Order: sequence, then structure tokens, then C-alpha cells
Amino acid sequence: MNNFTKELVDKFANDLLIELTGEENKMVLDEFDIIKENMEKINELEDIKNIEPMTHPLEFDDVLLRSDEVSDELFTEEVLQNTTHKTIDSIVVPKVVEE
Amino acid sequence: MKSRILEYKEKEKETLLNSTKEKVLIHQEKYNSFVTILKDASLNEEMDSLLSNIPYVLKDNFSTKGILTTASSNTLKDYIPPYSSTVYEKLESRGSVLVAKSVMDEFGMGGTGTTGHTGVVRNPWNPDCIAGGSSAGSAAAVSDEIVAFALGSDTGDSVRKPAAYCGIVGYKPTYGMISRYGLLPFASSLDHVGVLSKYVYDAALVVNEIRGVDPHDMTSWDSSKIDLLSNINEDLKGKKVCYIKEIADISNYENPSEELISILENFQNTLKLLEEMGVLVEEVSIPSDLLETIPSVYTCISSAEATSNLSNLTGIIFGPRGEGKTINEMMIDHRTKGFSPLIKRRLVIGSYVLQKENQEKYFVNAQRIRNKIVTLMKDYFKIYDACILPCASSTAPKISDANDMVKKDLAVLDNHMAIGNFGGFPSITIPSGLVNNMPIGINLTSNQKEDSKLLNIAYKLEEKIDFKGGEEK
Repeated sequence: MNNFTKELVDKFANDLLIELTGEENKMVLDEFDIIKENMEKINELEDIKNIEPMTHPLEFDDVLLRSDEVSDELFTEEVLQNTTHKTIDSIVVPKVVEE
Repeated sequence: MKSRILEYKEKEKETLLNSTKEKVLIHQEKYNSFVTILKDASLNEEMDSLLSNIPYVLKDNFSTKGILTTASSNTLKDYIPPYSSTVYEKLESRGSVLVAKSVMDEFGMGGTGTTGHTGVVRNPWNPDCIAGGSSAGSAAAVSDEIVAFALGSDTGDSVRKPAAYCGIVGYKPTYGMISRYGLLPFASSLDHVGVLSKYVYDAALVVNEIRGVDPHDMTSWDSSKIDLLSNINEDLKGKKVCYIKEIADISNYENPSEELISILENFQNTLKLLEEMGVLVEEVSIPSDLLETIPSVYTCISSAEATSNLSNLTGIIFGPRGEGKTINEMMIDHRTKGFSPLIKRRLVIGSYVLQKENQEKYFVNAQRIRNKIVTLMKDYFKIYDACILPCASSTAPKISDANDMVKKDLAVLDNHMAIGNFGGFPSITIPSGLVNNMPIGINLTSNQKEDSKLLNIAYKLEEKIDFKGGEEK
């Protein structure tokens, strides 16, 4: 996948539920060559295949998972204040099951 | 001992709060640091602690129950959290007084302080320059002496870089020392809570108060046996500090600017100050080709993690509802209208490195290199108490020149502080002088959980540098 196209950039964006304007798409295309050139440095390093990928900075030796009990809860009234589409205890969305 | 917090504790509390509120309004007019100003902030008469009735500022990505929290994004422009971040609750319980929430680069993705939905933050040293980001408003407010401390978050250098640009202290402790619960996430494996303050002592004091295990954050750990203040004034004789020659040596740069020459001279002078205090300073080496991957490793990992973290921004449960006939159309409309072009660019990169055919090549290899760099640093930390480096290749850039594009030949010097995030290492920036009448800083980083050692070196060095920040503005 060496040649970026407008369509490919749109696909990457659409995968994340985002649409790009023509200008935004062009901006990404214009800088992708530089970004890709920089990212290729990652593949230029030798002898990394046997290194464990690091997903987290700390060892988890001393971390205890909390017990799975209901503790703090969010209050419906407070949660609902962030939407105007609601009933007394629910958020309203369009019908998702088609007839 | 230099401490704004202890100085403020001596003031009459009502006078302090009222004058702070006045300063907040004046500052906002000039520098645009705040998303929300809490005009009704009141004293806490019940509490008597080291931080009680000390006014402070929170970056606007910390959830504050009942108070607007936007992460400087249009996707959250009206969002009122139904719960509070742990750090906010801790500061409330200590009786500190929140006076404002500060502007940031949207969701922390940016290093300029120019991308927030309420506009550009200006640098109090020169309003034509950026404050740096992403904790821009927090840095500007502390630099302008509005508050003794502010909280920020740091994913690549977002506390430490603006601190350097604004002539103040920026400290991010070891990963997990402070709970991230309620901090709107950017890249979870790199995100840290940090403190911006005028002096090292204040940063240590604040972290001492807000750290600790939090059942809401499984990455938090018990640091109760570590006291960040008790050794802070210890003599440095016998300590060992290293610097990476590929970053700090002038010979690495072709045609260096006058500004860069001055910054690296200041760095060499700072090393001499350490030596005068009996510290052994040695040069170490990390291969250039490995260092040159730092910006890309950071971009790959942070953008990929961001795509996941920002996936809950749908406009359905919170945030402005998008237009459309179906939920999918509504979510697309919300995200398309809500995210700024910069965020979209970052998310597109995240999407690209997570495509099936690219994952191993970019994302997983970036994680491997992260491990390699962290392992190398840990080896050096077996010998050295800290690593010292300049913070950046320049003073705060002009607003008109600011962007987040990587400058090719200076990429490592401008991005090396991300090593602190790769390894979860404690890392601090302190002011080290002025170049062209603008502040510059040096960065110190130590091994995980060795925050006391780091703060001791930073505190003594700060004393020796004697930076006249406020007075010289």
C-alpha cells in the first residue's frame, strides 16, 4: 500500500465514522508522504523481531484487581442532563430495527 | 526554600481568593487560558491542610461533576460530567479552591495550545508566541502568577514542554502514581497526570497530596512508602547524572541556529552547575537510528490508542446530537462536525496503522521499539540517578509559525521527552535560563518509582540556577 489516494484516505476516515472535506482529505494526502517516510524508520531498524511488544509501561506484579461488586453508580438524572433527546429515564434514539 | 504554596498559606485566605479571581479575569482577556471561570468559587472553612484554600486551575480534560468539561473539543462543548475525576475529588477533600478550567489542545493531541475550540492560548512572556501544549492554559496561568499550581496531563511531553516554554516547572510522576480515573483519555498507555508550578517544591507537595491507589484505576499503585518532600533538600554529592550525546552535543546539528547554539550552551552551563555540587556528569550514547524513531513510535502508538479511546464520542448519550435518519448517520455527523482537522488527521493515521496489513509493520513494531528504548534507559538508570537533556530546540515559537509537523533534523531534540512516557519514568522540566528574552528549560528523568531522587536533583539544581522568572518578564 504505497500509493495513497483520496479514496484510501476516505476509507481510513470512514472506518472511524468520520467524513473528510475535500480540503481535509488533501491536507492528509499532502502530509502522508512525510508521515510515511518517518514511520518507515520503524522498519529500518534491525533485530527487533524478537523483542516483546510493549503495551504498558509498568510490570503488573503488585496490582490487585478489585472485586466485582456494585459500588458507585451514576445517577440517571445526572446522566440524562447531557442529552436533549430523552424520556424521564431513557435516551431516545431512532428505531434501529427495520420493519 | 522557594514555594509559592507555602507563601500563599501565609496570606489572608479571603484576600487571596478575591485577588486570584480578579487576576483570572484580567489574564483571560490577555492570554485566553480558560474555558470556564468559576466566579462563585468559595473558601473551604472546614478543612485545614497544606493545600486548603489554595486556588488552583485544572486542565479541561479532568472530569468535574456538575462543571463543564470539554477537553477543548466541540464534541463536548456542553458536556457536564455526572462524576468527578479522582484528582479533583482529592483536591476538593484537601480544601483547595478550583478557580478555572484551562484551555488545551483538543483532547491533548497537539503541542501548541492553538487547537482548542475556544481559541489560541498566548504565552505570558510574549503574547505573540504559543504557550505550548497540550496543557497550554495551565502553563500560562502559572507562568502569569495567577495560581500557585495547576494540573495538566502529559502523553508525550504535554506538561513538560509548555512548562519549558512558559518558564515554569512541569512534573509528571511515575506512571500510575496518580490515578487517571476521570481524566478524558488520549492514549492510555502513555497518559500521565502532571503538575505545573512555579517551583519544584510546590510540584512535589501537590503530587504528595493527590497520589495513591485508586480502586477506579487498576494501573495506580501504592506509593505510600515514598515521601517526595523529606529528601528534597539532600546534598547531591556523589550523585550520577548522564546525558545523551546524540541529542545534546552541538556537533550533531548541521548549521545550527544562533538560538540552538545558545540553548546548548545553556545546557553545558547547567551541567557545570551540577558538577559544582559534586555530581558526576557523564556522556552516554544511544544509536541515532534508534533515537530517530521516537516521533514515529509516539505517533503510531498514541494515534492507534486514540482511535479506540475516542470511539465513545458518538453524540448519542452526550455531546451535541448529529443529524441523520439512522444512528450511524447521526454518529458520523457528530464526529465529522465535532472533531477539528488536526484530530481527524491523527485519527486517520491511527486508522492507517491499525489496518490489518499495517498492524505488524507499524503498530506492533512501534511497541517493540518502545520496549527497546525503555530497556536501554533502564540499563542506564542502573548506573545513573537521572538523565538530563535540553527540553527543545527553540524557545516558544511564534503563533503564526506554530504547527505540529515534525521538523526533520531537530525531530529528536524536540520529541525525546516522550521517552518518559514510553517508560512511565518520572520526569521534570525546570527553567534554566533565557534566550532572546524567552525562557528555556532542562529536563531530568529518572527510573520508575524513583521520584524522590529526581525531585531532589531538580530542587537543588533549581536553587543553583536561581531563575528570575517573574521578575524578568
